[in-house]
Amino acid sequence: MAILSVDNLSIGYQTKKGMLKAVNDISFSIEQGRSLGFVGESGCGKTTIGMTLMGLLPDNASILSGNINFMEKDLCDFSEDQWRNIRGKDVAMIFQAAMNALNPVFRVGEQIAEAIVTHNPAFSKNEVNDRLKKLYNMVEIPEHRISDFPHEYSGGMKQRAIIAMALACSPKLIIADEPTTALDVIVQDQILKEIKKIQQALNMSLIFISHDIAVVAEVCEDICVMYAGQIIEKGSKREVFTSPKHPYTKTLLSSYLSLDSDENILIPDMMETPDLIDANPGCQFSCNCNCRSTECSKNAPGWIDISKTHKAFCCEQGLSRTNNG
Amino acid sequence: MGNQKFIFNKLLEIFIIFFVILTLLFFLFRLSPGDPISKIVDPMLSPEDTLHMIEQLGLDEPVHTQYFIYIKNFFSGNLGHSFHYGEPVSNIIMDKLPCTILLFTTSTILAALAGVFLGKISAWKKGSGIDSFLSISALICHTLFIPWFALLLLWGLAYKVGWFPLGGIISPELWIENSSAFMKTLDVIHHMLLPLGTLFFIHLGSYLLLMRSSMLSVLREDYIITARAKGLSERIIRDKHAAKNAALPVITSVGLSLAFSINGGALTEQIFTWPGIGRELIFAVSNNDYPLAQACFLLIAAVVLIANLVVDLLYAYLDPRIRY
Repeated sequence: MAILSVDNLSIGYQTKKGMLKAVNDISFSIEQGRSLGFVGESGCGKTTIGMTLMGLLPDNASILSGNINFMEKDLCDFSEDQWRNIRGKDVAMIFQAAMNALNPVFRVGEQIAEAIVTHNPAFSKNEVNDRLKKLYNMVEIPEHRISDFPHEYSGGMKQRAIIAMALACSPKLIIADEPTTALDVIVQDQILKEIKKIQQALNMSLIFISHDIAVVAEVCEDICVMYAGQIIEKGSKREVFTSPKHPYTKTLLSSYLSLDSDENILIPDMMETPDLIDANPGCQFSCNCNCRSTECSKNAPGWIDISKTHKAFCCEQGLSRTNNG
Repeated sequence: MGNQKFIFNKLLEIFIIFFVILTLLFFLFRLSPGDPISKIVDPMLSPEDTLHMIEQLGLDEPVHTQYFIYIKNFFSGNLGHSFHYGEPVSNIIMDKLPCTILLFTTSTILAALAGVFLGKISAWKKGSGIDSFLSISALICHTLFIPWFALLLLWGLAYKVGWFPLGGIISPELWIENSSAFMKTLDVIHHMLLPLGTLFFIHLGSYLLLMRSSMLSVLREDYIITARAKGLSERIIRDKHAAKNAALPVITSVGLSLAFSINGGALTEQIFTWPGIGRELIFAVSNNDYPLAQACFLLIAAVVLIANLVVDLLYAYLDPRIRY
């Protein structure tokens, strides 16, 4: 039984020029204890998905259609009060700590304790403190740093503190939105291992959002590749990495630098950004696809099953042609 | 301890600045037009007596000697005698200072508290009717011309309607009758309401607008989303997470505006005949009462310097990122 299943979800932002469809008809589900990664470039809608699952969409955004089923409840009809009850308790978010994710004028421990107290009002002061210490041990920050202020923490420690905050009430689902983007690679690696370790130890579900496919590959078991508000390929990590099918996934993977090959790096000419307000009826990627045919911009692509778990949102020619064709 | 060293350095700095002001004031008064001698020396006196008086006042000494006498007197607590009252200036100051402190601190604190509170509400409900009403009212308050506003209050509420006394700080009959302390306090408050209201509204506007814009930028910060993601209630997010950060610039502004509020305060005191330092200053300047004017200016300088120190310390207390 999936803990979260999203069906045909579309989310739009009301803009001056019209409704911008940031997320267009996406479906995915995640089982308890599994980890799912969303990869895609800036503006492909991955953060919008994360914010929707937290009920934190900005005022000009709205769910246009679809269902979000979380722990057998439909999140689409949730009132603000109902959201407040599950936020931080059943579903929590790991933010990027490099930004001001921690309030500069309150002690870090106090800010984490807030998350505990809000959802466990009956806790005594000692119980809260015990929980706080446990969390600090879990994310490997020395206990004596509990009463420090955010500016006294290093970047990596802030990120750990943010993770501790998300774990405060042992949520069923954790959404990590670019949690390591601003950290240097060594700390990044430590944090990723930390997230993965805790997720497995506590048997939580994890949705990991990043533009960095290598990072997603390190943490997640399943991967969804997004482009222009749509999922265009999904499958297990091995399937997507070893045999990418969609032309976009192929370009994404081939744009990676490799130190031990002299191969010319294929940085594709992604000249055009698809218009999300007045979208073309066909494939959104067709303007940049080097496998396209004339039909591609007219007819919408469909899901093609490659294996039981591996799917691509394309047309038959797109999958059969080679990338450099 | 860093803080103690900071306070020591700051006090030293304040002393030096104060000394410079002391010196500047001395020369400024000697450059100003008008002749102090003609002010205190009776024209009916004989030339010998006039000369004698000038000698007695030390006005025949060269300027640098006068300066050293002035500095020496200041540090021995002697601010001279008022030309007009014939009393030691320090007595007059001590007499008037409590009235000014009462009026100024009350109005500043009330205006700051109200400005922070209303600015917070206004930013939180941005774009609503309440926000428009508060912002526009704040702008009007901010641009009010003090004498006009004060006179309007005086004319309308004191003269026409008669709710408030026309001026002063006490009703003499109440004090002669030996009423209870409670009645006396009520009487002072009754007298204070109009000047207090004037200063309150004048300051309220700028504090409210500052708090509003500060709050709006804080509400865009990431830690507000973090707070929401924890499942905190909107009231806690507004009052705890946003307001504390947003109020910091307002505190600085309160400290700095003290310096500028003195002139507004002097006008207000003058219009409501509030027996404070500001009114004394206007009187002293227009009557060439140099010792008194000098002392008033020094006092204002001291208040501004001390207010700045207090703001610095308060800031360090409220914002943990600031350590001296």
